[in-house]
Amino acid sequence: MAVVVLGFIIAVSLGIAVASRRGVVQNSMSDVMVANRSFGAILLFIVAVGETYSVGTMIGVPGAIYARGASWATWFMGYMCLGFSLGYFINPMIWRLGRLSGAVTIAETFRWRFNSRPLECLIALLCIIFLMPWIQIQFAGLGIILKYIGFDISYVTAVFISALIAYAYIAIAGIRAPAWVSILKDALMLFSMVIGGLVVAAQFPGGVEGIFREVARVAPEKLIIDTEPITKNVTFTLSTMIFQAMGLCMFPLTFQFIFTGRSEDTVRRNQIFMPLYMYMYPFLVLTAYFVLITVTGLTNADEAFMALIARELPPWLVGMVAGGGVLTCILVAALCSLSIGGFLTQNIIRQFKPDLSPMASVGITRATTAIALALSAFMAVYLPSLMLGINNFAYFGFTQIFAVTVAGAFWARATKQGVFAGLLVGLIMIFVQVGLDINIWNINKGLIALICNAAVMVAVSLNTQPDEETKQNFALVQNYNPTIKA
Amino acid sequence: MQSRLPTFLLVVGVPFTLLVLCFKIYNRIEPMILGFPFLYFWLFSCLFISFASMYVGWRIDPKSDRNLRKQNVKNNAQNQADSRGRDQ
Repeated sequence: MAVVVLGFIIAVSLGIAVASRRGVVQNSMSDVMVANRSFGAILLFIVAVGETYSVGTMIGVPGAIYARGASWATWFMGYMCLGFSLGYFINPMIWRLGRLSGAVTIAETFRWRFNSRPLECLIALLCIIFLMPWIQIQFAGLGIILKYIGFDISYVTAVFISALIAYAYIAIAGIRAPAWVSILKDALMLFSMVIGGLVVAAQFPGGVEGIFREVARVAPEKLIIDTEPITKNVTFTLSTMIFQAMGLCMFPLTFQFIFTGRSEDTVRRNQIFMPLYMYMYPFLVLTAYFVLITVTGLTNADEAFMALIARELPPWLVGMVAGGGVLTCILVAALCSLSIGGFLTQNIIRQFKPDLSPMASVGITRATTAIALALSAFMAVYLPSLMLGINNFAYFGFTQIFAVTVAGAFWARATKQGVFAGLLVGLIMIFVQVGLDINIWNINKGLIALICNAAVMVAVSLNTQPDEETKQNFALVQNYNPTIKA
Repeated sequence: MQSRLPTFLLVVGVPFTLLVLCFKIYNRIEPMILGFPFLYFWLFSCLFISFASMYVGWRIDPKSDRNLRKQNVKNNAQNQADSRGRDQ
């Protein structure tokens, strides 16, 4: 039964993808990557938040609470909340840079702003390297979900089928298909989280308070953050919160969605409502603590949510929950691989073949999207041990672009040499810290790398001069007024 | 140009204060409110508070479209008044 519901949901999603072809412009790179910047406030909101709540929310958050308690929940919710606030200022500037440069990827945007091809390549490579493991996480999440719905299919087959569906979305309508499908996926996800929370609250004697009283009795250490010594959990929680808040604005998919928006103010208004969309967290937290006291000895903490769902709900509801989860995995994988395809085509292949026709660009993007999907599906199946700790690792990388973005949007003196050197130092610092396992008061490694990155950027910029084109483009950014038509 | 500082304080300052600077205040279990331990109650409240303060920040943001338009109207009126003054 659960499987039938799941299959039906997937079929509906493909139907939506086909329907979203309406308005597609054939063979236009801008259409494939950013839907010609045509999304209004509501669609933009749904795709942007939809992306923010990936399968990590449904699987990862309850898992982290189950395994590590409040410190993970605190930084997780804290970074989103702070990230939305930062996004209020940063995202409209990213939109403006994208608009003025006419770019479809973030790497192109910075080539325009700093008049530098090496910078474009570096940013594109960075995004590709750190996006691959992100797709892999999605497939791992998929494996967990399928394990609990009694679907007799091997993990390998499941991963490859979902990679195929992901590719189908992109081939059908570029970024439009995942955007529209994410409406369905969000509805299912929200529904399942709320249902999960309500079911446990109704079941446990004493309801919500009963559950937490019980946790406070048996495992109080999971409800607060241990402050002794302060350089252990507190520094970790707060530095990670601040660092990932910056990272939330720098996620390559977020860029892609910002570019689909119709105007700067659309993007800004979007940010205002984002925190409200986190209303499912109370339900999720509740579920996680319920599992903590009722299910002991899960070997893989990430299975907490699905274990509960499979045990407590009737099969058709399990199918709906699984449908939401599976769609999320496929969608995020589709969007990530589309981004990778875009970076490869627009920012790297173009360096060698600058005269690509629009038709060839679209073709190559589709091909590279397929390759990226196949490669990460392969990695997910055959190198699953690489998964460990990758979530944080991806953020370490993406967030390094924060320094470039702030400089690009607000700092006239920033030079291409400066931002390039800063970015490079930031990346080196990540690999040095992770490789040698350096730990400074448990402060987030990415934050330390970002501070070095910014310091180098400022130092080098002050010792070099921005060229004429960089100055001109900065003036354009500064003087842009969305209410006066040029 | 009007300052964007008040907007910045509302949009970024408020959540930052609540989540980072107030850490010592909210890191506790009791009192439980609405059934949730205090830490979680605080985190959930932050979502609503930051929505509200962001909204107010946007209303007074001199860079928002509506405020820019108002500013344009004002500027135009000013320019017209100026040129009329020159003509006479």
